[in-house]
Amino acid sequence: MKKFFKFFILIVTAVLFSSCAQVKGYERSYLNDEEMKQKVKTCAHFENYFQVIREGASGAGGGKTGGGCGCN
Amino acid sequence: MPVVVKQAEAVAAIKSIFFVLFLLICSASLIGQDKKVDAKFLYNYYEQDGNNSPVTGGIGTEELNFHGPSIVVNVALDSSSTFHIDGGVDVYSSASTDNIDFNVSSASAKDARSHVKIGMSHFNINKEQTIAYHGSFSIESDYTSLGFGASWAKGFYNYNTVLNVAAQVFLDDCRWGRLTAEDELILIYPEELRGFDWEDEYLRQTYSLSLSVSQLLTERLNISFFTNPTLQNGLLATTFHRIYFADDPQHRVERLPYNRFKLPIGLRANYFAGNRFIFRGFYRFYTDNWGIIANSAELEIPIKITPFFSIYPFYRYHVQSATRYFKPFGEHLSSQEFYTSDYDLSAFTSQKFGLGLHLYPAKGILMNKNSGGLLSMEIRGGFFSRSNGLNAFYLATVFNFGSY
Repeated sequence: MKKFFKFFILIVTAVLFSSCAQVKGYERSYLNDEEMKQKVKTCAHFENYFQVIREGASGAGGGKTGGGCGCN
Repeated sequence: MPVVVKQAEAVAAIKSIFFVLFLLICSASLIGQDKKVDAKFLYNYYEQDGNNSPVTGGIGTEELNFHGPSIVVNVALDSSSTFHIDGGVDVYSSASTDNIDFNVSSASAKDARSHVKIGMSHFNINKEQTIAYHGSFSIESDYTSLGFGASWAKGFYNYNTVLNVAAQVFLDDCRWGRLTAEDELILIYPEELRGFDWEDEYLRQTYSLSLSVSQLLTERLNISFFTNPTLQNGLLATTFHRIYFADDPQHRVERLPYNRFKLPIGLRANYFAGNRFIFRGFYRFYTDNWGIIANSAELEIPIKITPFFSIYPFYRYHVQSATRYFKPFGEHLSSQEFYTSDYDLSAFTSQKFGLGLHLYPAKGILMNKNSGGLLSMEIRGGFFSRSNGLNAFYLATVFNFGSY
């Protein structure tokens, strides 16, 4: 478990420090595409909602963790 | 619960539907006068069937049908501030909760969950930061939830790096009776187990912190890391879930610890390959203090048929271990302190696959020069299957209206 977190932090640090070369605004035509957005799509929010209920292993914000009973 | 109560609940639910919609439309029209407004209309459908209902101790039907219409309205108050309001009503029928009472139709056999959320966001282009806050409320026959949240997003190096911090609090009450204006709010137990005080606690608090860092790595690749530690206190068991024992013929209601700490941690990576294919990857590791460890991975591949129309197949795989408090029907010992036969907390693998369509033309789909119109639409549907026999189908649609 601790090894996993150390590995994860190492990866995050490595990625952030290795990305000093910035992607300029005019180089972002692919990155600005609607399908490249990092956030969860509006259409997929509902999937998160039922997955939180049907899979005991999930985060907050829906189902059995708040904002709904999800007890069926 | 008698049938007349069920009818009263249905009437109350319908009233709440109209109230929420009325509130949304009034708020949007009042605030949105001479302002830029966009509205998303969502409709979600879900159906499932399985044979491990916790209401009947881990055996029995889990058949459920769910309809969830909702609306999201964003009103740009000025160049930096946006008012948000969303709400909707989830209507569902559940054969499982119908078995709370074996003799007559139960309180939750048909139920509705009304929910509303109101918030503001402020964007500062010079500081590359957005601050947002919101409040939310939801109610159903045996549950009310009050929520608050705030978030702060900060861009660095012209948004090459974005840090996002968010916090949420949910204050829930698990008692039944608000929708029917009962004199006394009570916890619901299985019909044959009423008359005993199985549980004193009826409140639940959830505290959630969300941290994420996203990074543009190349002209075609972005990545983000996230974690979402969550602490819950209060009643975490569901009091109408039955438990059957190996050493005692008398069954009881579910009992679970009064606190739970969850820690998911993961990453997302999006890569634009060539001119038509995008690979959206997701991985998450999860652990909690109830003994569940899980891994989830998802891959979605939008294929751009035109610059503004995508078709995307997706696949998700999830594997989790069981909580230490789980055992199937009739296998618990009466000497245990905590016990559940809820298969949501059991060991299983699950798979989800489906297809989505996303249409988002630069000039909209059906637009009027003055009043705006339909900007974009998305339809997404799929199948969800658990290794313990639960199968589900779902459909989600979003229609986004607004003006330029």
